[in-house]
Amino acid sequence: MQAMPEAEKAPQRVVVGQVLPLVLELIPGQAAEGLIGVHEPGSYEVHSLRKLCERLLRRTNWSLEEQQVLEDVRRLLEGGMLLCRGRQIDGAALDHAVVEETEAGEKYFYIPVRAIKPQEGGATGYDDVDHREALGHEGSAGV
Amino acid sequence: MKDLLESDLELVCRSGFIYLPLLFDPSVATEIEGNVGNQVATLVGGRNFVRTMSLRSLVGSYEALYPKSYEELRRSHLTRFSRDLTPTAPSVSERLKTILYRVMPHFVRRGRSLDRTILTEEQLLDFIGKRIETPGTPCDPAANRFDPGLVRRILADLEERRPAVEPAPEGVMPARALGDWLSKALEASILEEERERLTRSLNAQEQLGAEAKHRMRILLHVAGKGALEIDDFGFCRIGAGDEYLIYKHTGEYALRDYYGRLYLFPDCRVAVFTGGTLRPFVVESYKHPFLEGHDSGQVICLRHRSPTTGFSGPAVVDALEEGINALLYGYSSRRRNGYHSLEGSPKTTGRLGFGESPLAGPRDDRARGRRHTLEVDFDDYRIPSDHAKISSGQVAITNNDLP
Repeated sequence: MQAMPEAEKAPQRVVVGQVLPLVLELIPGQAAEGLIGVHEPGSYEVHSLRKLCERLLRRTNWSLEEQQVLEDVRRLLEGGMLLCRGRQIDGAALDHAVVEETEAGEKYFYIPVRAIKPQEGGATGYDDVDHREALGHEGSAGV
Repeated sequence: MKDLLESDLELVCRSGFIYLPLLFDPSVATEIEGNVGNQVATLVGGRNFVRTMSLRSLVGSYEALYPKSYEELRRSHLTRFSRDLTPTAPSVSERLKTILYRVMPHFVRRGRSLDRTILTEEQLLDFIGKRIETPGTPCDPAANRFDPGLVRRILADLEERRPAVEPAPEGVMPARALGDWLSKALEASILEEERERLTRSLNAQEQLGAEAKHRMRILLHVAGKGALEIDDFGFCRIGAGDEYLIYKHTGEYALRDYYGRLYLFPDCRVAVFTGGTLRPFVVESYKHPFLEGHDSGQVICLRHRSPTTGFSGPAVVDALEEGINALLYGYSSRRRNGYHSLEGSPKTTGRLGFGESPLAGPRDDRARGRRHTLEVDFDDYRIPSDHAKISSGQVAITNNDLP
């Protein structure tokens, strides 16, 4: 059960000339998954990533569950921004893509775009010692 | 009420209600005069008593009114009846279910599938089963946690030694006598409740198919262990109660300073503790512009956020999100907001760079009083701009585009 934080996996870079479908995922905040948009080869190359994101946000045929995710994304975008691995989503979509594989072994370009509302920091609030006491007991899980 | 029932005060029980004595006062006597005889008040031995609560409500609501006392009673009665009763009964708290079914799915990716439909509880347990060491091996205590034969024996024992329920007392009596009756009524109620719970569990277990039994084993395995970590999300139970530390790893990330230099921050766990206010903090000893010092358990500075006291899935998700957002996307190299600036330029004590808003800024008096404050530097985190982790895209610079 070793942790494998997302950022520690080195992404497999796009090789110029590969013709693959593009999967764009709009993820609210720190969620693991978000809204998926699939683009066939030939339909995305000329578009910027921002354009593709805007197109995905305008889509209307979402399921009820997906609509909830869409609302989360929109809420975060009020005062927030879209980032792809910490960068603004300017430029061609392929500049941000990495190659991934489905369970069946089919390759595709993948771009995860997060809707992030930066938290600027402020007050810690009053001292709360409960969690510090809890940290002292962290090793006692499963008692 | 508990204190009252341990006293020698005289009270009256009539038709399942407790009547408490009223003051010897002419105005009180006048006020209740019309009510004597209509069950609101009663006259016994020249003294007025007024109806209060029903005995049935007192027994039924005791758990909600005095949870700690009820838990002690429950533990003592159940232990007396069967030493093995508690560990054999499957116990998965609602809190744990909330963490597993409402919080974890938000932070965990289900492998390489592009399917994004929300997983049912059964699917989530299957997913967990694939990601952890499969329970059910002979050495796994969770596999034998629910032994139907043992539960049947305990049920028979409970049935055989079921205490007789005494009828509600009637007449004038000292409060202490009513307290004794209440203890017996609570004992009967606790044992009956346990008997019903075990019967339900036994029936449910017998009706389960093989798949459901396997899922139940997974759930009990997690409940028994009290801890789980999948990908960068995890939780662990603290102590013997039902409180958890729920956390998410940040992974490594880089921040840029005013001069464009990079600082590589190590992974840390941002956590909330369910036993208090849901306030995100760092589990490991950690330093960051938004943390006062270099210590474990430091609360992360957040703006425009009222700490949530009630536990719920969305509240935990929200608190963890805000904490991670602050560390990764909060620090502006231009505004140098935070307790510390990355490049280490001195800050005036009392003006910690959170802006002019009265809402903003840590409570400066407290901050001034702490020995760590303003003594943190980040030189050891400095990396060249062509660092392998940055150029390979393995680590993202997360404050590039902040205003």
